[in-house]
Amino acid sequence: MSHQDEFDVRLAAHFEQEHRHVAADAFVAATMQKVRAGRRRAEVMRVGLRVAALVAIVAASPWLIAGGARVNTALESSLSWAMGQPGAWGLGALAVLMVLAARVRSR
Amino acid sequence: MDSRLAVADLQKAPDTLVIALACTGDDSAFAEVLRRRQARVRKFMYHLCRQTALGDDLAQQVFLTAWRSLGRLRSAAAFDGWLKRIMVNVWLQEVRRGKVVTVSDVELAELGVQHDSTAARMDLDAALSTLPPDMRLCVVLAYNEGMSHPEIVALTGLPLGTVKSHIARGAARLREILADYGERS
Repeated sequence: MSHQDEFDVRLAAHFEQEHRHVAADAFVAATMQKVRAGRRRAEVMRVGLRVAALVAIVAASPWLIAGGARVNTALESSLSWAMGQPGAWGLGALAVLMVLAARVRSR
Repeated sequence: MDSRLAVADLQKAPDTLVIALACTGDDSAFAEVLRRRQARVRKFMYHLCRQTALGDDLAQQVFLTAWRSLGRLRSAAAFDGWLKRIMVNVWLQEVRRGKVVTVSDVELAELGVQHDSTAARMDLDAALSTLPPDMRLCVVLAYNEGMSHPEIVALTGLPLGTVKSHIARGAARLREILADYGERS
C-alpha cells in the first residue's frame, strides 16, 4: 500500500467517526424551539401587515374617493369624445394602422 | 400544526413519507427529519469550522433555512441534495462574513504540543483548520460527503480546475502535516 493510500484510509476513517460533542436530543429540542418561535414571529408579522394595510386603506379613503371621482369624470369626457364623429374617425384610423403594423411584422 | 402520524409511527416511517409530511408544515415530521439528519450536518460543519459551538450554530442555521424554504422543495427524493446545497451556502455566508479562522503553522505546532496524546481525529481536525476556507470545503465535500469533482463543481460554483487543485493540494497539505505529527509523537 502506498503512503497516499494509507493516508486516504486514515482520512476517510476520520470523516466516518460520529460527532458526539452535543447530545442529539438537546440539539433537536433547541432547533425545534427556534422553529416554533419563527412560526409565531411569522404569524405576528402576517397579522400586523394585515392590520397595517387595513389602517392605511381607511386613512387614505378620502383621497381614494376623490381620486376615483376624478378618474370617473376623465373617463366620461374621453368616452363622449370617442363616441362623437371625430373620435370615431380617429379610432378607425388607429385600428387600420394597427392591422397594417401586425401584417408587416408577421412577414 | 399537529402531526397526522404518532411519534412512534414517524420514527418507523420511510424518509420520503416523513419529508413529504414535513413539507406540509407538520412540525413533528420536521423534528423527525431533524433527528435523522442532524449528525451528518453537524459533523460537516464541525469539520469545516473546528469549533463545536459554532458548528452547532451553523447546523441550526441550516435546519432553520430548510424549514423556511421547505415549501419550495420539488420532491421528497431531492431533499438530501437540496439540504447539501443549504449546508454549503450557510458555510460560504460564514466565510464571507470573515468569521472563519485559518490556523497558521505556528499555531498548529502549538496545537500539536497541546494535543500530543490525543487521537488522530484531533490531529486531522487541526490540520484541516490550516487550509483556506474554499480548499477546506472541497476536501470535506470530497471525503466527508463522498462527492465527485463534477458534483462539487455543481454545488459550489467553483471551476473544475480549481476544485481538482483544491482537493489535490489540500490532501497533500494534510499529508504533510500528519507526517509531521507522526514524527513528533
